[in-house]
Amino acid sequence: MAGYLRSLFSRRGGCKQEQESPTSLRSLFHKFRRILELNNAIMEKMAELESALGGEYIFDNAFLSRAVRDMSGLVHQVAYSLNAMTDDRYVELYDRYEYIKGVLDDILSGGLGPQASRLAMGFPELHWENLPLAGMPNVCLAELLRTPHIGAVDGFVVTVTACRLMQEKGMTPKLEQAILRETDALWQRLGRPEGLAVSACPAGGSEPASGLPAQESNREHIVRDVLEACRKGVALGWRDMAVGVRERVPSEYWGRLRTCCPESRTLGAMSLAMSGPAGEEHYNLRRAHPFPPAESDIRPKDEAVRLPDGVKPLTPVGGGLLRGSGLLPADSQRLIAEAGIVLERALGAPQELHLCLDREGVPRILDAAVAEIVEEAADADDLAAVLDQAKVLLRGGNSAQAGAAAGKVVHIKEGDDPEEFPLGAVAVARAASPQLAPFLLKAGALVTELGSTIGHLATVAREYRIPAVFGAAGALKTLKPGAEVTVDASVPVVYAGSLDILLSQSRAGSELYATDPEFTTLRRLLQFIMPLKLTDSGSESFAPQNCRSFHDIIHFAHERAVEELLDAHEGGGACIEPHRLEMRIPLNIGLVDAGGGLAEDAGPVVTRDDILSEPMHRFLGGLRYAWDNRENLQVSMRDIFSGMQRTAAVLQAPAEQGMNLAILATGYFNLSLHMGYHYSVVDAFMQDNPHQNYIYFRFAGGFADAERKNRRAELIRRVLATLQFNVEMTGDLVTGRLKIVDRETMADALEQLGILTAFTRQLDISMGREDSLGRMEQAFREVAAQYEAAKELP
Amino acid sequence: MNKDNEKVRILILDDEPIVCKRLKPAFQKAGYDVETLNDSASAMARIEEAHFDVVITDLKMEGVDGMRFLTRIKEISPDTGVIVITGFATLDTAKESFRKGAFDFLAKPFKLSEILDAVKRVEAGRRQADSASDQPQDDTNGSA
Repeated sequence: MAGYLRSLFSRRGGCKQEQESPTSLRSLFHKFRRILELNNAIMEKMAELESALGGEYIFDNAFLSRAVRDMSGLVHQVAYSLNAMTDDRYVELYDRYEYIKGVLDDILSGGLGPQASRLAMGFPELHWENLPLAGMPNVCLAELLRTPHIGAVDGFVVTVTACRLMQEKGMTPKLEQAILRETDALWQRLGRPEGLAVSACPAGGSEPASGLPAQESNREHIVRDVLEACRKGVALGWRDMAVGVRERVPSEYWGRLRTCCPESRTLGAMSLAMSGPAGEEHYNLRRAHPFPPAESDIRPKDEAVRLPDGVKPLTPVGGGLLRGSGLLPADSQRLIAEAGIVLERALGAPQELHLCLDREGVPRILDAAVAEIVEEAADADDLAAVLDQAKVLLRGGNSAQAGAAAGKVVHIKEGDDPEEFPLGAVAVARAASPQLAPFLLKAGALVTELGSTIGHLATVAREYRIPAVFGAAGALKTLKPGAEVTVDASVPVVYAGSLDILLSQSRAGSELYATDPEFTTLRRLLQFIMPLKLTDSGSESFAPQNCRSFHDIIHFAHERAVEELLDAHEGGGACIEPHRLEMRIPLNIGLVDAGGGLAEDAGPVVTRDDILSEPMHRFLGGLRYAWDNRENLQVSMRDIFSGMQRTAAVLQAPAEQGMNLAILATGYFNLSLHMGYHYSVVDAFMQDNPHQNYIYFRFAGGFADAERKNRRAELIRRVLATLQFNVEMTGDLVTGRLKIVDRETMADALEQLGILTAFTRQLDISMGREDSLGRMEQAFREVAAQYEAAKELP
Repeated sequence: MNKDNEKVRILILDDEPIVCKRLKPAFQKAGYDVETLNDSASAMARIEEAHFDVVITDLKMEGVDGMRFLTRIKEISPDTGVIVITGFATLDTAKESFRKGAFDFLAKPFKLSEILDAVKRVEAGRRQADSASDQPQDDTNGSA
């Protein structure tokens, strides 16, 4: 961070050299604009790929190959353009580009991916994209481990690569070392497990498959037993396999859940069977939360027998009720059903789970895989008849993630506690705010009135494969809290009640399933295209060698291209004389026009009216309003500004005397703004195509103590979150990203950022107490509301 | 089509199984009678023996390519609405498809709603044509 501040402050000196020829200046601007255009074209392609993952589009492998090839070509041009701007200062960017492109090509050709060299991996490291390397049952358990309240067993996997090595050379020292290292790590995670269970499963191909029955093992014999499991797989003729090593749970009660049970008399019911010393039982559970039994086969038991939870049948449990004689209390049935539904939703195929009850009677999931059940789609005529009769509560909106789910409606908003959200319920919200993401861990479906299907929340919905509809007007009014509804996000439509036939049909429907090779390939590709990890341009890690995705590369190139253009002002290269912006605000802003940002006849001094760049115009509109009206605002606001004026002299940093630079172009601006000891950066692109629109906002620094700075950072975080930004905080550095929104939303967000920028100017002085945070947030909202009202005046 | 409340029959031909796998349940859910095939030779044989109201075909396939397939369908059954889907869309291929009688042309990837909409338009066009043909052809046979 300090490095970035230094680099920005070092720019403030004015032009030291004579202006270079217009040709080189034009060339610099041309390359900068080229990077902008390329970045926007790449962002559009990323959005297209993300949408494809949600099941909205029909596509094939040829599309994936072509999309990756096209995108690779564009990213290469970004690296080239940046190096052309900077005299080849970032040639390492080509290396990262080549590496990532190589990984993408490998995935497209069915390779194991960049982790192919790993011999063993702990479950906490495993994700869906590791399926070809780790095998279905291991990845399923790993994913269940991440789901709250579901008791899956922990473990590690000896990968396909390791098994190939074992088949070729037997147990090598390197392999033995990897297994023992993961065993030690597992021991640390579990404390004192009672033993291990080892099981091989086929892997490497696209088809799901369950493994061999697990064999008991222990820490001393684990290497031998892994080798033995691998040999069993070879004997079965498996070409590629992985070996799972898991915690062994001593138990007397064993069970099996099938999330699809064609033989059941209850349409679409799940089948759960348990057996143990106290007898056998069978339940058909409904598929809608809380998964109540539609049918139960519970045999009478001797009153003296101890049930799995240690209690005798018919023991009073309070409230005048008796325990009953079932092996599984309702809570346990629900937990098991949840585990099945979580996996079924993620994989889009019926699941078979093997489980046991531990000594306390708590269910533990031991094994999971796609069930070998051939499930036909519900009869189209039956389905059509049911849908004809069904009451449509809501129609319309955009599908962010296809699929169907039923549950009770719960209205949610930012600030609500996700812990209190009932699992499996249908979440209904006003806007698709990124802050609602934690609810998706528990929701059965999500419906919002506003929001982009390619924003952050849509990405999370696709990650968890939660049926999601955004932009469904009137959802909050129509979908009443507590009402049972069925959401068919593929259409999209919301029906009254739980439509079992639709839920059943959706499992054999048109969605893209995790078991489809195209889905697996796309999800794996996106891991090396989409994530943006390189966000802090001031940190030492902001370097080409740390680019992990195409997104990182284009973000890096953009930031450095902006700096290059601003550095040209200093006189190191093509010298740029910025236009000075005349405003009543005491901020010295210089404007560098990269093309189409200013009126053609703009002179050395310009006003806001000369600015043709709409995003900059909007931002300055908000900034100027908040400043001009500082005396006419509510009391709380006056307090803030008077406090600011009193302390202005104290806060005046040496850098304040320099110039704040903005680069403008048609539909684009980048502004680095220094106020006192803190600074912010706004980078925005705005035009008619929502897929190319974005705002990137960064705020850091400050004069006050850490506590006040953190309060201000928290205030900014809250405001950005309300504006639908995806926000991250690291210390007092706040970064917010808004992407893929329409022009109107962009305009509103930029005006509010302008207000926020004026508002937060030296605000930390006013935030001496914890309660000031809420007061300031309220004050900001008042200013923003007054601005909106003022805009509507003739 | 639809005259006797019979379901509209659709044939989908695409050598990428994922396309057929996803389109089939979507059209079934929308109330259509759907057949899918992954190889053009089988599809060529199938259209010789059965009539389809709508045919959805890929263009670039092993064996008989989509353009030849399109030509043949229109020879056998001129009233069949053919929707071409392709991952290699160019202006030329679109023009040629329309020249050979395609009803619509969709570039992959496309939205499910787009292809459902295209089929509905085929239906609507056919209903319009049917009702026009049901009208008296000659003023002398019409009512006053």
